[in-house]
Amino acid sequence: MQDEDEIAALLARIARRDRRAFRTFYGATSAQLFGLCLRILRDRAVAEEVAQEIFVKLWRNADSFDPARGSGRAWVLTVARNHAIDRLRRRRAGGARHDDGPEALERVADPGPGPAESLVAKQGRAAIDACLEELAETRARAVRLAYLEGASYAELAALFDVPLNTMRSWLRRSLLALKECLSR
Amino acid sequence: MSDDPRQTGPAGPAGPEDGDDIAAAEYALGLLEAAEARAFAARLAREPALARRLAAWEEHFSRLAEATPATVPPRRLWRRVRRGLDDEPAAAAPGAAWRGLAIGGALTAMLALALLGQTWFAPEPAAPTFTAALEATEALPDAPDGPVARVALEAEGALNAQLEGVTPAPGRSFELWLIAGEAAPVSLGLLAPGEPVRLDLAETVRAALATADPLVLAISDEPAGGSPTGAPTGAVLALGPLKPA
Repeated sequence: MQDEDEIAALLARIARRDRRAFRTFYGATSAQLFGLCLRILRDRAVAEEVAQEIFVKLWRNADSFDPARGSGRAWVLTVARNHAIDRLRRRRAGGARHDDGPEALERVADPGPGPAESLVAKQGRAAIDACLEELAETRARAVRLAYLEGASYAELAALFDVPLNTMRSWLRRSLLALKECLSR
Repeated sequence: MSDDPRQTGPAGPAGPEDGDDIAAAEYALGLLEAAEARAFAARLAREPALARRLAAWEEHFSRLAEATPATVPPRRLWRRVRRGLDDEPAAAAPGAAWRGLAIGGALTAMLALALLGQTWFAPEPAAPTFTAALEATEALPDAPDGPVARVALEAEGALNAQLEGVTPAPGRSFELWLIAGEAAPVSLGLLAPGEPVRLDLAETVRAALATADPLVLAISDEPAGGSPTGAPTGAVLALGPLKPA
């Protein structure tokens, strides 16, 4: 995504209902956000619908972005990720249609180095990637599954075949280790 | 404690701060149970320090979202989004947490719409304002009949171009140029074989479009990556007038 300050500045203008700013914002973020929706939802039609909802939500809620709290980039991606994950979970809850069950998680559990990784390499590695790499591989995978697949503790426990409480405590330990690494 | 970066065991004794940090991370990942998440959200509103912890995690995790491959959405997505904006009020806004925040924005938006009418959006951003069909020159003897490239300019100042039936030789690129009136050719960008390309036009180019006459587009054969000099260096492969749509 673009320069962080640029996104924050656009959000400030969008909060003042500046439609030109929104058009620019759409141009700057739509490929990234649509790609994220596709990645999470794995269905073009649904991704399109969800991306539309996300942009309308961003338009309506731009005034709740607080630049003192973080970057515009992170805020936009978080709103988008959370919205897409909500949709994914509703779909899973409503009787896994085709590819949303735990088996789907299993299939995507180990994507290997794909385009995502190469993109990261291009952008300069983010701290989170370096720190996830310091975790045991399965633990890093669990964090990614929660973030990008919306996996719950119960689903992760089933996938890694450990009791729920074990899953909970090892993921929490992983988060603590991540925190320690990220604050270095 | 070991300095081994691969250590994945407990990272020291968990204090209350660690507990808050872990809860913030679990909240960011969506791992908390519904009741836990509600309790956490309620604390967020009154504990700025907790909100900062959450924001820090969101900053980090959002890099994972950002690292997913970008995909250009179909054009109709913008039209759908735009319709969605016009469908305010925010009563339809999903998610209770958002609702309180959205009201101020929605009121302002309705006021803005009332003042401006719908005309703000009247110029369809994707509407082409100029089009061109470029025909091959003698430098491209094997080109198929008919235009070898089609170009459309949008009101917003972007240009869409697509090559048809021609591809650059290995190690070469096709570069698109604007010749506005008597001026020297100005590079608009490189064309990709087999797929439409969207190029943003510089302000100066847009100004030339508004004032110069005639307007001609040309494609030249250039080294990979485009002309190293800023002016065409290879053969002119195709030409066509740029006309108001």
